[in-house]
Amino acid sequence: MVIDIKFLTEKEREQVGFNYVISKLQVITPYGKEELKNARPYRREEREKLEREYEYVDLLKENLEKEKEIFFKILKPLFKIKDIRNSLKRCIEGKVLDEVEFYEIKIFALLSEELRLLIGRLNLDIEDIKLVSLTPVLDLLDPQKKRIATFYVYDEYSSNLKEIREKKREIERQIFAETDREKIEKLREKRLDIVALEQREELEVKKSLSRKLRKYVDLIKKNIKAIGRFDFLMAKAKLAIEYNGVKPTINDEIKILFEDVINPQVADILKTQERQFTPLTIELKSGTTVITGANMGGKTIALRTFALNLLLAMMGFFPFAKKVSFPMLDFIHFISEDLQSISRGLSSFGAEVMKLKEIIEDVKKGTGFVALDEIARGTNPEEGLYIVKAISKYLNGFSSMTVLATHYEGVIEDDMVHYQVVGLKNVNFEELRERIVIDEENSVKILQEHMDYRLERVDPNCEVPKDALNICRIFGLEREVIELAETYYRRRRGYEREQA
Amino acid sequence: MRSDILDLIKNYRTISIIGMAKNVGKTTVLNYLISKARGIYTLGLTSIGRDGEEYDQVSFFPKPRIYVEESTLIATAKEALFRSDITKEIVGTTGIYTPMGEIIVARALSDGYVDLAGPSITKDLKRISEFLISIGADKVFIDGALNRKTQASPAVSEATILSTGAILSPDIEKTIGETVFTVKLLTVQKESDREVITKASKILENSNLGFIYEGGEYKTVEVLTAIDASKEIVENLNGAKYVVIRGVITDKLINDVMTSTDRYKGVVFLAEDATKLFIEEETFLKFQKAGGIFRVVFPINLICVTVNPISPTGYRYNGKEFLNRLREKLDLPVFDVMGGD
Repeated sequence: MVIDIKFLTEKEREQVGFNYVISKLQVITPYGKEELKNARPYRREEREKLEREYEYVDLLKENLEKEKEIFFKILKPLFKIKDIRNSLKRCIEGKVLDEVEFYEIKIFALLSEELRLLIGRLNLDIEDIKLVSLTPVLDLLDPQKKRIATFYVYDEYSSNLKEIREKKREIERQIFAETDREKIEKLREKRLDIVALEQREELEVKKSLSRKLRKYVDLIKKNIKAIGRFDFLMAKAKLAIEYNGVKPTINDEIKILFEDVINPQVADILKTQERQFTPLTIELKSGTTVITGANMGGKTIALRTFALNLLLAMMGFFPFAKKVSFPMLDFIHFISEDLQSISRGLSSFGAEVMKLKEIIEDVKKGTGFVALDEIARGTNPEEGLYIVKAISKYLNGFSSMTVLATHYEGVIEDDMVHYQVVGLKNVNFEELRERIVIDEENSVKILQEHMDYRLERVDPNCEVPKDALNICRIFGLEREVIELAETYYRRRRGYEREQA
Repeated sequence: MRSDILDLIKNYRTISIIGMAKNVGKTTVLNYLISKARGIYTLGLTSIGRDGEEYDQVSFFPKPRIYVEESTLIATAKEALFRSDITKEIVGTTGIYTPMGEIIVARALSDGYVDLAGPSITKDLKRISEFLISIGADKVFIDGALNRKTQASPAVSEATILSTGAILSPDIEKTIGETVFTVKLLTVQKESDREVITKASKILENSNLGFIYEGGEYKTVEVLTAIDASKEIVENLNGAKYVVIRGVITDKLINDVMTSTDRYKGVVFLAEDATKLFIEEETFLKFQKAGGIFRVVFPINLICVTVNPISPTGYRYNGKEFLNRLREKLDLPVFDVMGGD
């Protein structure tokens, strides 16, 4: 797939789980694979097309569940579809096709007829997947009208050919009946002369067939396109069924709403550990939304999940949620911790700055989605805070929807939306610690079990949770270290009160 | 006697014919079988890879071509198919590609010469044989090869015929000796322990070399090919009951092992199948005497040997003598399809 890097770079797409989702698509035919290869985010001016695509996926999805039997029947011919585009190209170029090529085109026409009838029974009002009848092609390649899946240069094409073959058969009978070796040799030589005649005549027939077939190439190509579209749409619909995709709404208000959205890749990994992905709900408006919350609270996964589902939706897939609404996006940007920087000879912070420059340029020109995962974490905390604060304030003034995950306190301003990972807020730390003391080996697992990954909207002034020290306690870090840290905490609190 | 060879194949659906060398008369045997099957069986024909050109590249002897009856099914590469002079009906494409194009399945609508160029991988050969049977072949003949070039093994066929001939050497003793030894190699015993076969199959799936130990545990060793793996074999031989080797087992490999250690006594060297054993008689005997054992995972069911007493280079043996001497030395039926015995 060649997707503009304005919609995540190849590496970011891998990170957010896009490639995983694509690998789960069950595209069957070479033509469906071509559709997939050419898939890209729809452009702003293609909104109607995108909405139509959702309609189509929805229709397919509905039908897949209702007409299981027909879809099962459709699979068989679909799996037999082969790539005949090279032969068609040769045909257009005026080349003479060979028997195997005619055979493959005939098979395609037969399968295409089978699919036309089956898809016709589905009552799908989708222009793109309407197959045309290839009867003229079949009549050309099946002059005996037997409609069986074989091909040869039929006697019916030329009376001359028929005569030659009769002669050939006659001499073969003579060879078979003859016992004298010398005579057999003579007959065989004679046979070879007839074979040469047969081959010459067959070539004439193939020339004429190729010429006649040229007129129908466009018809065949129409069906190739329709089969590819059907295949791709069916794959999208099946994916939506498998991971509970939903038909999204495109809004004009510049807001993004996710209700119970998931990330299939992460969900599948969790499933192997007998855990579940906690669906996320969030509403993003123009400007900056800040997510704060506990360490290990899934902020990164949340950002990836939003970026993934938006990209899929922009490409005409159903996002994996209960409800999704979003405006047409001109870009999706994502700065994450493992931003590839070494290759460009930059520190991770340097790479972030470069990327931020790109983002700001795009934000000035259009409306998109920006996810910033703990930017400036690699620099000193004081400067880091100022930079994050500046970025979030600056981006808050644009129409694009920015979501920023951070540990820094004091980034959020009154006119920004603030979400927090529920995290360990409702956990009894003493109890949790006792459990971990007993079962130290599984400390991470136990912590994960108690972690509440949901996002909740909180007051912009709501304090950033101080879970770091709690996690140190739970994992049983050296008591003296914790006590020292507590002293520093208290000192700072006192200082702050004084200031106030 | 002549009809006996047809009798021998009666109970098998897939039969491979392999030659000891080029020009031993393998195609003659195939043509003989085809002519005998006429009117009795619908035949399917394919080959393991491609066995040379119309003229032998080295010796320039015109090679006999395969002549089939109307209604025969053939599986051959596209280029070879178009070189065949039967009237051909295309009945299937396989998605299996060779240097001569995709393998196509066609039905002969007339008698004629066919050019066979089949798959060179065992899995594909099996698939094609099954396909030929599924569309109506009563018997599938596989024009096989006994060389290192192809991976595909005649072991996928239910029965195998070995062709030998005077071309091997002007010295009849030498030809007989070589033939008898080849039969011995081809009929090396199959490993009968099911558990060992299961483990060996797992080893062969992903590795070129593996070991199964006394206690039943097994491991694989990463080597590029087993051909140069004598060092790895020697290093891991301690306590091993089986050495599992994927691909060719060469004379050099066995000699290298024998000169480095004597721990191979009682150890079974397990080959995929007997066509992978490229070992000189002397080495084979030395190895066996010293207590080494060869066995195979997939056995070859050798049902008979055919002889050709005439060498296209211009000399010939006494046909009767050749035939009778081999019959004495082998526990298998031996036929001379040309001479009529």
